[in-house]
Amino acid sequence: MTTYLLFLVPMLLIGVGVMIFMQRMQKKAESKIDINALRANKEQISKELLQKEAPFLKEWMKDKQIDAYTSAVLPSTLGDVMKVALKNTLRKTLTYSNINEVETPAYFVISGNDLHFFNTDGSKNIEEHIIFDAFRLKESEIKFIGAKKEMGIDYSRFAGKYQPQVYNLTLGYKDGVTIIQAIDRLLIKSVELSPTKMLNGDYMEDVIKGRLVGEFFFETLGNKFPNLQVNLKH
Amino acid sequence: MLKKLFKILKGGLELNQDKALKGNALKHILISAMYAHQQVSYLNSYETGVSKNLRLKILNQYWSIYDKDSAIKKLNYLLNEGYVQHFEVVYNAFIQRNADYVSIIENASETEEDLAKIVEMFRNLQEGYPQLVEDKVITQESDLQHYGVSSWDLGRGVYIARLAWEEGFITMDELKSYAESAYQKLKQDCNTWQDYTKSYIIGRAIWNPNSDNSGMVSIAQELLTHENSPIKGGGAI
Repeated sequence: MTTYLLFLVPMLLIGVGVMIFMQRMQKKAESKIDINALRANKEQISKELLQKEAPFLKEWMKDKQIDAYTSAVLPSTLGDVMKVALKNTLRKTLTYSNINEVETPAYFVISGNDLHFFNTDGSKNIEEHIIFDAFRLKESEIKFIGAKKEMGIDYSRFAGKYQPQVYNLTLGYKDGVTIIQAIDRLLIKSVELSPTKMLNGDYMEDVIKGRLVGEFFFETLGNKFPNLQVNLKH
Repeated sequence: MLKKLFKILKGGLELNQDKALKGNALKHILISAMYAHQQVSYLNSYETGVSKNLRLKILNQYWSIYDKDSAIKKLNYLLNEGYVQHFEVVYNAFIQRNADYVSIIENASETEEDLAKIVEMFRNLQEGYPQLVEDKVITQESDLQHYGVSSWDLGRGVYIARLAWEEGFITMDELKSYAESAYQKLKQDCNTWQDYTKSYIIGRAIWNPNSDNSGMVSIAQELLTHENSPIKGGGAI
């Protein structure tokens, strides 16, 4: 446990530092972008980012249309993070990335009347593909939860509105229900974790476009299923 | 159970040497071949050869058949309703899934029970379809319509009728009559024994896409290729 804390505490502090730095940089960069002009074009932006940042979704969906998509996450707790950390500490392989393995990239895709959920193993391989049909979606619920946690920690105090927001989707699954969190944006890992790109003027536009992809997703979902309408918090 | 396990490990087909049927009577009873081979039963006689314990387990636990009335009710359901009853709607909804499958299903459902049944079949088909393609049971969506699910209903029906006769719930005349009716119905939908096996596997996938359907593919393969199989070659029914 001591070994684990020796690794985890510095990493958390670094994380907070990065968040504060990012928030400052993002504010500065955002002031130069006409968000309303981009927002008016969000459907097109959604298609553009599908090609550029998420072409694998087209492959996974095969011949099915993609109306809208966003990032998703299966709810995890600090306990989940600690289990992974402990396992890797025992193997002496603890790193930031394998602590983060508890939360692998996941996506929601709206196709016609269906909502597809893809969970991956972190290497763009599908671990789970669940299709929620219209009959299930009509009986589903959505609830705003708050800022997305990183490794079980809420960084929103430091990252402000730039921290992704999550919504719990309670969906009928098999004979019961399952809860999967929809994120209010497409998380573009390569951009968000690169300090070099952060200093680049294009970085903020990509982040905003990612948010608009999420916005278009929630708008499409709400239009198809009024019980799943939300007012986005960002 | 041990006897069944031994037979499975031994492989091969169960053929009744003493009471083997011939001609039309054999054809009628062969509709139950998929279920019979799965349960390590005789393929070619009215007698299944399974133990009383297994027979009662299948009749009571799997089918809720305890007497003549419940047997007749279940057999009539498989002959006249079953999965075939809703399959066309499910297929149409499946191939239209990017359009408004909701109205296709809702318009075809006269009762809440129908709706629940059709939605369940629709979901199972969506889930089971990729495995059917992977197992080469079908190659395209239209194959579902081509093969249908008749043999899933009728094949189970004839096997259950054989068990019900052995248990004394129905008479030999009733069994023979039921098997002949099932055969005539099957011939309307399946031209060959190969079609029969595919229809059975598709129906089973729609019943439960998570069940071991690849195992059923192996059963079909053995029935269609084993040198002693009465349906070897999968030719005309």
